[in-house]
Amino acid sequence: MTAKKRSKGKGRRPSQARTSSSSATATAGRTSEAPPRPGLFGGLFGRRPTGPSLLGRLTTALGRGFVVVGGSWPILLVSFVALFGEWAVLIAMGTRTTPRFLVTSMALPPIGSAIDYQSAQALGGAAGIVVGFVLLVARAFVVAVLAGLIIGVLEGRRASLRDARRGLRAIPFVVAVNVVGLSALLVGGSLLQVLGFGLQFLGNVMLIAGLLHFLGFVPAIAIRERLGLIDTLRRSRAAASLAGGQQFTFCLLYVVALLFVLPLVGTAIGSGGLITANPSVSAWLYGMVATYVNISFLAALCYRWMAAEPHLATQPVRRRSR
Amino acid sequence: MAVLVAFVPISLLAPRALGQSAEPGSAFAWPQFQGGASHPGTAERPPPPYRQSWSFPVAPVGQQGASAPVVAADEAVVVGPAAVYGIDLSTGQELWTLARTEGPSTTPAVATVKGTPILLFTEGSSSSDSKLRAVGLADRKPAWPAPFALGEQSHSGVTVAGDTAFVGDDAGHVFAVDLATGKERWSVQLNAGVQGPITVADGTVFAVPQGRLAIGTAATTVTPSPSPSASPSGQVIGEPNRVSLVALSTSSGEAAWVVPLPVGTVFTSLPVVAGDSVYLAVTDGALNGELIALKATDGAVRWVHRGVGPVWQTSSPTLAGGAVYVADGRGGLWKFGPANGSRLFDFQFNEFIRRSSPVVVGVTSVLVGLGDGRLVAIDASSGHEVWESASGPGLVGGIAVTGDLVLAATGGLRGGVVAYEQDPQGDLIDVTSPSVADPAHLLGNFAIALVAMMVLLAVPLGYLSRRTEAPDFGEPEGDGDDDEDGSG
Repeated sequence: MTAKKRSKGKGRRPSQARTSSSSATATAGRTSEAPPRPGLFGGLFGRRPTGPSLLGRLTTALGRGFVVVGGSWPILLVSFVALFGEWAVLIAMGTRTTPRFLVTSMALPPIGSAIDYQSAQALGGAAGIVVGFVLLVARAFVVAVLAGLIIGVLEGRRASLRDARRGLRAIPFVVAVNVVGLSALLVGGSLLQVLGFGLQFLGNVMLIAGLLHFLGFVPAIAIRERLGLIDTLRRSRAAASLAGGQQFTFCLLYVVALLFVLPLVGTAIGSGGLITANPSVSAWLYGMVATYVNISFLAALCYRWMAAEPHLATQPVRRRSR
Repeated sequence: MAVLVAFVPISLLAPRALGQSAEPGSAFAWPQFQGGASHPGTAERPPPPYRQSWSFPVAPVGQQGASAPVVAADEAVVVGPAAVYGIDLSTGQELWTLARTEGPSTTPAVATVKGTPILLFTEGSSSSDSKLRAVGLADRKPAWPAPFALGEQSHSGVTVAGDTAFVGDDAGHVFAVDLATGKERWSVQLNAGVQGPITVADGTVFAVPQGRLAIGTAATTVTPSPSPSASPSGQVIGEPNRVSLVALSTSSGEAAWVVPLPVGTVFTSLPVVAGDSVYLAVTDGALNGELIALKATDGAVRWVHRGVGPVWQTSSPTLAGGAVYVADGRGGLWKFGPANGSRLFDFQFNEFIRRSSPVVVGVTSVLVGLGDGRLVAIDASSGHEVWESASGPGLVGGIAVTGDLVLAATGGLRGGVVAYEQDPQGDLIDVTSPSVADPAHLLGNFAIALVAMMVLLAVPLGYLSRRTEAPDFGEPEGDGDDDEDGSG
């Protein structure tokens, strides 16, 4: 059976796999029900819908993300080559760092863009601004292409050049996410300084998770739907609100994995702690595993958006196969 | 501690020191921190390779070990936590010991007053017992009627320029003391403490008032200085709520200029003066450092180079052979062009450098001490490592160079001073910095890891992916072939 055939015939929706009631909800939601307006932070702190999440289980999304990314050599290849490219650019810029950088090198926005900002800031002046902007766009390009490939696989095809091209439409959206996220991190980070080191640190973690919570679906929405930037951001926030605390938990899990667990693993295995321009094989392996985790979370976000999509449609989502 | 007095004829002290001096006009080979009041950090010889000649232990007390050594004629002088030691340069044997009130081990200075060599050092750990003492180098008898009382304990060490000694304390006082009489010439109040030897050049005193850096296992913090007390003039010098570089007149102590350093600066290196420029490294809260060059006349910024690591308060840049050298706390030794701050090379040792400043020998080699006890030498033109000592029990701190020896303070329980002499039979090495990209190595390692990951992930997960019943997310209408021609 070809992938195309599989996508048309045999599959099932994620919420169908968990609960029959959600199937009805999905159908209803796709046609008429609009979710209640959550308010600015309503998705985080407001009332939660009871029962199973419309976006399916976290473990299902994560498992699907890991399988989709790991099982597709084009996605892996693009991820790892981008990782190498970022390292090469960094070294060419004269930055002195350790291979631990590889852990966060392919981090999702806004963490990845914050890393780029630091790299550009080290250069300073006009060169720093130019390099910072180039890195911002380059990161958006990579994230958009990867999201396109991932969505192609999630839609039941093999990742192809066509999916990569389709992903390109997300570039301006991801650039916007990078800018919004980075601005929020800079402003928020400054404001959080008044809390003192411990609370500031905690506040920064929550801020990153919060940004990912609200903006994490943007690449998938940009690729799947032809909306303007504001509508895309609204859809992302609405989808996050649909899952409420579960989505924030998911984002917090990612931040903790990226900023705490993976570095701890690196420390424990003694990999990548020394400044070098030529990482060892083990350091590359460590960086690639971290990249695999990063991109798998991106895939899980795409999966969760695609699960949420029918429940959020303000107008019926047109599907070719249905 | 008992005072051991060993007789050293004065006639032996001065003549042999004239062969090499870090600072023009000085009678001694290495009379103070980095060899001179402006912290030049240069010597003509000996070039590497070296072999250990001798070592002299200094008993540590708590965190305090041996200060950076200074050299006067045939002896080296080093300050320990509770005593000052005179060491025979040729044998490494103790010539004398002089008790001091326990306090920070700060770099002493030697000077000549009316033909008589004197030794100056600080002692004490509180406002009541902190003093600047001067003794005859030959007999260790007081050179002044009474020690000079400081306002608070001092981490600055002693700087001598002309006939004046300059000392700072943790409360932000800077004192200019008459070498001959021990009387105060002037004093000023800075808005924070002075954390290392004061820099003096061309009639100007340069200091950076700042809190004291505490390097812990969990975090690096800066302890604020005690609140400045009222100075005789009632003036507190320094930019409020900012770390600043202060320039004072050596004759009157009046502030020539005060320049606020970049916002976010938490601590700085010691400043070094060369020609009409002042160079210092500043570090922010994230331990990112930048090297700054300023005009010595008015403090105007000439250039800034970002990207270096943190340069600790006890380290000073060095200017020699038309280049500025900086050793950062992450183990990077950097060479910059002094005109525009362009990076000429860097060598990453991946070992912390905390109390050592680069010392340039013969304009061809740069020496620096590492945290693992190694003293290393870098070729000043290629940036390659050409020599290293065996690692030791503690970090290598301040360095002093005589015509025949390289002396290095060492930390740890068996720390003290280690002397190296040139080794004619020794071999030089040629090691490239790990921060220099090796394309073959870089690509090769990446390719091996890439293949391994593809095999480990894509094969089993690809199989799993094909076997797993995937949920059906159809492709939205209009996303198909029309995209391929660029319309969608």
